[in-house]
Amino acid sequence: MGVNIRSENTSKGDVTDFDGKFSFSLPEGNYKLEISCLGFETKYLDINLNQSINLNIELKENTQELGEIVITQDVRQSKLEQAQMSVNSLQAKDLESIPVVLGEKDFLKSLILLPGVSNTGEGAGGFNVRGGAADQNLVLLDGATLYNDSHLFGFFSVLQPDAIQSLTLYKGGIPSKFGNRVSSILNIEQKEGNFKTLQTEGSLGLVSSKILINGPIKKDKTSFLIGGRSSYAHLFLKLADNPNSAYFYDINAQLTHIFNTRHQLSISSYFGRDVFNINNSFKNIFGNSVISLNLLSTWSDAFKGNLRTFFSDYVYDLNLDVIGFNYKNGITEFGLGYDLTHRLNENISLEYGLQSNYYRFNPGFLEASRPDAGFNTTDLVNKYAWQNAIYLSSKQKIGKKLTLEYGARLNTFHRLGQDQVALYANSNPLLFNEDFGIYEEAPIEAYQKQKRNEIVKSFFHLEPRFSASYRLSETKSVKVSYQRINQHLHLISNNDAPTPLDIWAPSGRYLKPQKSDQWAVGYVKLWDNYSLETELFYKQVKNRVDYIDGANLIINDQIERVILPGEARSYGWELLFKKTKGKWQGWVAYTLSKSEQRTPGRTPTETGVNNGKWYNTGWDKTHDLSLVANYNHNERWKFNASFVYQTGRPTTYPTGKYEYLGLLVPNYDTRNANRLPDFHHLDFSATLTPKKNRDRAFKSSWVFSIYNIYGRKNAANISFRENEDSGRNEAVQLSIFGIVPAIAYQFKF
Amino acid sequence: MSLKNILLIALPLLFISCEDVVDLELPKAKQELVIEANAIQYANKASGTLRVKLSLTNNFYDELTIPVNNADIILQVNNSAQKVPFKNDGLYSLPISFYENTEYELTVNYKEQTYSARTKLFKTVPIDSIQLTERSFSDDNSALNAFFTDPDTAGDCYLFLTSATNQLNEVSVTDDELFNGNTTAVFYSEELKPKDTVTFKIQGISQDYKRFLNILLQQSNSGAGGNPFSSPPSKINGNFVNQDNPEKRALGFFSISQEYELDFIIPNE
Repeated sequence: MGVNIRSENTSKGDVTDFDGKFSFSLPEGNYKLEISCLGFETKYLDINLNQSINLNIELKENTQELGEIVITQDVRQSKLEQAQMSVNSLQAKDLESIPVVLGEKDFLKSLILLPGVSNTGEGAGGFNVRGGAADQNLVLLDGATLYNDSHLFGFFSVLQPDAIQSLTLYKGGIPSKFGNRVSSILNIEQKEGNFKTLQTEGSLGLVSSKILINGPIKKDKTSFLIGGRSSYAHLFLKLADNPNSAYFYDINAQLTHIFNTRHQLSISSYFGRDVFNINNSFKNIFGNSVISLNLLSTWSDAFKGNLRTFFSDYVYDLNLDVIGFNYKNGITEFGLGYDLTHRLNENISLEYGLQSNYYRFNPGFLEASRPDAGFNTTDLVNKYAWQNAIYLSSKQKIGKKLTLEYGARLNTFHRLGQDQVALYANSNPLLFNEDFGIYEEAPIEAYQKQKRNEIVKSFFHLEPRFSASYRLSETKSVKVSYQRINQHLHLISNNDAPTPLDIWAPSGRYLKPQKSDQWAVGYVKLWDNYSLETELFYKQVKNRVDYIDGANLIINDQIERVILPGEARSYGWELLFKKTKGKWQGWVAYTLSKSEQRTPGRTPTETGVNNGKWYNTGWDKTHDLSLVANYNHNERWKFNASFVYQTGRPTTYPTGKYEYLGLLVPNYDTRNANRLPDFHHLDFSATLTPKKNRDRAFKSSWVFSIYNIYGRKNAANISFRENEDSGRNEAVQLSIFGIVPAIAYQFKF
Repeated sequence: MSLKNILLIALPLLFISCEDVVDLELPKAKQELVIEANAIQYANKASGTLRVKLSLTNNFYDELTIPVNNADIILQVNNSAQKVPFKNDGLYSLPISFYENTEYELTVNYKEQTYSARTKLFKTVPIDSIQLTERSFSDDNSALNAFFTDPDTAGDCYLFLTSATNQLNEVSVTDDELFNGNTTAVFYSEELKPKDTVTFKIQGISQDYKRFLNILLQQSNSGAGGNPFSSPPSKINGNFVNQDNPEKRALGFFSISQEYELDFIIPNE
């Protein structure tokens, strides 16, 4: 009946056959099985494995039949034996136990409490992994690329948290199955609907409300899940006759159908939009639409396949009637692939497959919104690309102590013909004016017309991947890994945090792919109730795009005339200490790291960016500490707290000022040589589950939360201006959140 | 008009944020020479005044600008050189005649360094009309469109200066890429009262000056300086070249522009 068997710490899964049978091999040792069923209480089972055993798991009457089994392999085994390192995963229940601003569960805000993960601050979208830029993360929703991860410019993550089954973040040692982004892969799995009973859950919060319904369409055969969420603060504005509004909504849907013991189909989709309207003069809508289809086939016990296809679309739409134009840009991706897992014997198993992606880039379209606006219709040339990859990865056990995971990914990226390509003298789109010390756009010599179906530029890359784990003892192991990844898509953004209107550009004639190498070593130590993981990493990225001063990135058909290739590097030490059992649970995550980049001139006379010197990236945080604590007081009360401390983000303070055209002009020197004040806040939440819930189907709970208890005013930025009244020059700090209390009501039936 | 700038206008409206003036220690400034050299041809007048303002960069919090009064400034045009005489407080000025398609070269000698810059007269078009519009970010504001007609040639650049009774001046720049050859408008919106006068000025400028001002306006507005949505700020290089020591540049720009202006008086409601 298609029961999923999951090993929590590896996120590897298995599917039982129709009779509910499952089998898999584990080394000798003690295990704890966690058997949980969507919507039911969790059951634990301790087993001692010293020979092959048959387990017959029966769940009690009140839990009816099994909907899903989650087996949490004892941390002791998997963490120690797996060659895979640099991985963090969060389950639905983890998201629940982390207090966040405005009392809304949020996967991105939870993610940044893990070691090696941060973002540029409150109210900023995206996340940074091991010093990498936000566009270097691949976010996959059931296998489909998600291009924008935030609502309201970063206040909320795009996905309704209740619809998420698990999140797995690969920060390093990335398996060869994944590629295309140089810093990380975030794999998000949506929940599957219940095959037995209809369930409804939802919550009412201060900012948004959500509802999630799931259940069988045909018992034991087909299940569905559908969830919706919307913010509603704008409704109050409407009541107050305020013509402005800012809101978002999203819809998650999932359908699973079990054909027979061998084949299972799941369709997963997401649709989300942000909507802004300021006095009908500024209207802005943007968001993702994603659909993916996975056909899981169990060809034999040792041979399983997954046919995967997806469609992903991101669109940004702006109507600015004040100025008089409509503007649009976006990206569309279509993917198809087949992934196979193949167990050769007890010691070797293989994963291999092929993937093919087609991209269409719309870098911008602008037209007049009314006849008197005077804008010419400007349709930037669409770009097209086709990407193929084959991969092979092998997991091998050598003796009792050594586990290897090695493989390679062969990537090809083809730029397809576009209607018009600009040509420059000496193929150089960017000139350097030595007299003025500035970069200038090269004049276009001619335009070339290309055919859509013609390959105009190709890149071939072989990406080796390797990781190994060696067990020092029953409770300790050391790990090493190396990976190479190429990234052919570049987010054209000169900001520290991604914005919704940033444009993706493919590698091609003038833009080389980003190429990264990462090395990491790690150490894992386990106790009965605690675990410790620590890693050192070094990562370098070539062909990191940087921008000339004054670069115009919007409605620019020739991005190549404002960019320069640079390089980036980051290194650091991560530590994650967890308490995994008992009334008190939680973790301490600490990262000590450095992230910097440089863009030297292409010739000795060119200045490059920042005079070609290394400078801190906008998300370089020397110290990044997160403490998360959960306390289960009793069945009624649960308490959660988290504390975050980070070194202030790099910024550039003026080294002086002058007056020009009667305006105050701050004078700047070295880029990102200063830092904003340190960033920290303490948050707290309490969940009350009333007693009367116990014996009835309708369950509800209240979540009380306070974000930033001691009201720390964290600087989002510091700007420099002349005071309009006093005429004095002043530094002005912008803080997004003060102390934010919130309350939410959750229900389930 | 930069799309990103427009978005930045809208952003603060959404933030539940707060602003505080903070006591931030900033480094002592290195003294760098700033040259603000402009000549404006009002409509089609044959002559006008070249004004050169010299100053040194100062500590950010210092109220004063440090004027430079002891420089030698020479203007060279049509093979004749003229000294630009010192007036007061770092200001130097010289009456000049305007010639089209003619190179003007300005040379500033200061502390044994010679800075020079070259430019031409950049022509522009008059403002056709000014009209009130209903479209605005806020109903409390009066909003105006000042229409002008861009010539068919591509690559024209504009500087707009808008001033109104009891309001701070607004400066903006643009090229004609999105509206080449069309009639289009400059938008202005402020809380204005009946009888307030709004003055629109339009100037023709070079691509280089547009680039320079574009960065300068971005950095002089509060957008720069660590806003995650702003471009990283940097030193702004203009068109002055240090003949003795190319690495040691002077800040500022030398430009000659034609300018038209038109007034509008806010009517009684």
